[in-house]
Amino acid sequence: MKLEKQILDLLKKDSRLSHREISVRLGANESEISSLVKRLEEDGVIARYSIIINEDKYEGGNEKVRALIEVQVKPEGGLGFENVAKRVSQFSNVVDHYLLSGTYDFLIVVEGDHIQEVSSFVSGKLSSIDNIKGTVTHFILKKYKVNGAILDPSDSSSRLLVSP
Amino acid sequence: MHKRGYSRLLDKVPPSGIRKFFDLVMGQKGIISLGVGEPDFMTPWVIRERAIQVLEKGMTSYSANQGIPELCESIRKYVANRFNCQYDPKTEMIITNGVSEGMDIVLRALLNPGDDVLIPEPSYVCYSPLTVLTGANVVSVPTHNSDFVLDATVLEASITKQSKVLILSSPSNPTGRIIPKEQLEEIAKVVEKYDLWVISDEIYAELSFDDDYVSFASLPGMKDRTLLMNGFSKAWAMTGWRLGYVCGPSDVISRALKIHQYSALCAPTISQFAGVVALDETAVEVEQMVQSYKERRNFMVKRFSDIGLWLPHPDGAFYCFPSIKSTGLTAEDFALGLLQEYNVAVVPGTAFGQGGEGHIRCCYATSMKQLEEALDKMSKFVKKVRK
Ligand SMILES: Cc1ncc(COP(=O)(O)O)c(C=O)c1O
Repeated sequence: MKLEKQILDLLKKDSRLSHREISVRLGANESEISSLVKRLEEDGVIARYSIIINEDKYEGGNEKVRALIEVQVKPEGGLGFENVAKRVSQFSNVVDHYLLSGTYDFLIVVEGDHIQEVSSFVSGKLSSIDNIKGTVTHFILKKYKVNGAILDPSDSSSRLLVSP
Repeated sequence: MHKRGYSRLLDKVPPSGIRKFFDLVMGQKGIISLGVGEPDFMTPWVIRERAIQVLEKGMTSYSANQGIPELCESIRKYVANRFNCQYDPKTEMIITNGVSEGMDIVLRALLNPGDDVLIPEPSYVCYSPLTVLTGANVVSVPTHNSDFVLDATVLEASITKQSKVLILSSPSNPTGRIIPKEQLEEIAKVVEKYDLWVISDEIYAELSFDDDYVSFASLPGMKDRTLLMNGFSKAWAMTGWRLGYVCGPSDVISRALKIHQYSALCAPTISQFAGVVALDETAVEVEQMVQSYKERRNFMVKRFSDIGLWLPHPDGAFYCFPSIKSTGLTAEDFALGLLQEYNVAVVPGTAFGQGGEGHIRCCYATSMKQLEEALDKMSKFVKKVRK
């Protein structure tokens, strides 16, 4: 496996690893890791370092509401979906935005402080964009797994402390 | 004590060093254990899912003694592609209750009282007791003068008129060492010269971090003399499923099968169906686990070098076997002290034979966080005893 890929795999699981820790685990030298990470950052391969929050366990904050929204778009001659996509992505309520194959075109993930905020975003902002033909909104009720992380792993191992 | 007594052969088997340490550790709370001998991953989900399906469908009967044909075929393909060894799934293979059972039935199929079995030391814990139970004798072959890789000249010097079987284990439990191809070829010459059988325990073959793995059975002329042992416990994280296999010449396989059919009947059927998925569909999962062990291996190598304990290079498996001679303690005293003063469990090398004196086995199949803490503590302990 290429070193870059190995670095990315490690950081995907734990973005707080230091370059030094990465270098020890991959058996490479630290300066090589630092320059590779720097390049990955500069090239935008590493777009951001982030965390995954298990909201069920987070009592302190005001819980945000999330919805997945299917969006049907009328493609424009010459431009396809790009023009509409640019406008949709700009809204700060839009957290993720994908173009899909299949029965609808965009799938967007929208976040708001409460259900009303998300609904009014959809009816007020999204639906009024030219060439957006229709939307279907699905509110997220519970998260089980996010970016490969199972949020509440209930199974636990029961290994013997000493074995052959 | 019954007045007619018990098996005399069994009385020759000493109590297990692992067991002794296990009892000590169980008496203590808050232990970080580097004393385990199994993966810290759960069995990949697709394999578990298949077992659930099999249970739902009620496919819970005995299988043919030899194993289900689907799994035999998957093993044939896997062993051919991965290790370049061709076996007939009908006559040259038995699916067993782990390598443990495979080792037992093969030794019993080959040995007579008075035969000698050559066992490189330190060695995995079952080889010697299972040999003794056949009435044969164990001849330990030391490896500590060749960095724990069996040396062909040392092997040759240990050969007697009664020598019949050589047990190879690479990657090794407890040392993590792999016998390189050139050295295997030298060993093969000795095997040929003295007309030996070889039992090659390759259960950690997938966990080979630096070079492509070479199976002893794939060396020219060796297939006819070799009983190839492998299983699902380690690379597929399936220790509790009790699933392994033996491949080898049909005259030995048919004899071992005679024992297996009476003493085991068959390997767990549910596990066998799940094993097909393991071999056919989990290359990606296995690769990820191997990569993760490799990262932890690298960490251990670095930390032991920082602590200043010599470590024979851990090429594979998930063990390392550092020397603690520089502390002046015996393996057992070191392990005991570390356990009592710092709550870190390791296994004294002597649990794997006298050839393991001066070393401890540290298993790194545990979380990075625990490894870091365990090694910080070990470092403190070493500093303290060296003073
Ligand atoms: C070298 C070696 N062989 C065999 C075994 C036993 O494996 P199984 O679970 O297949 O019986 C082990 C388990 O620790 C091992 O380390």
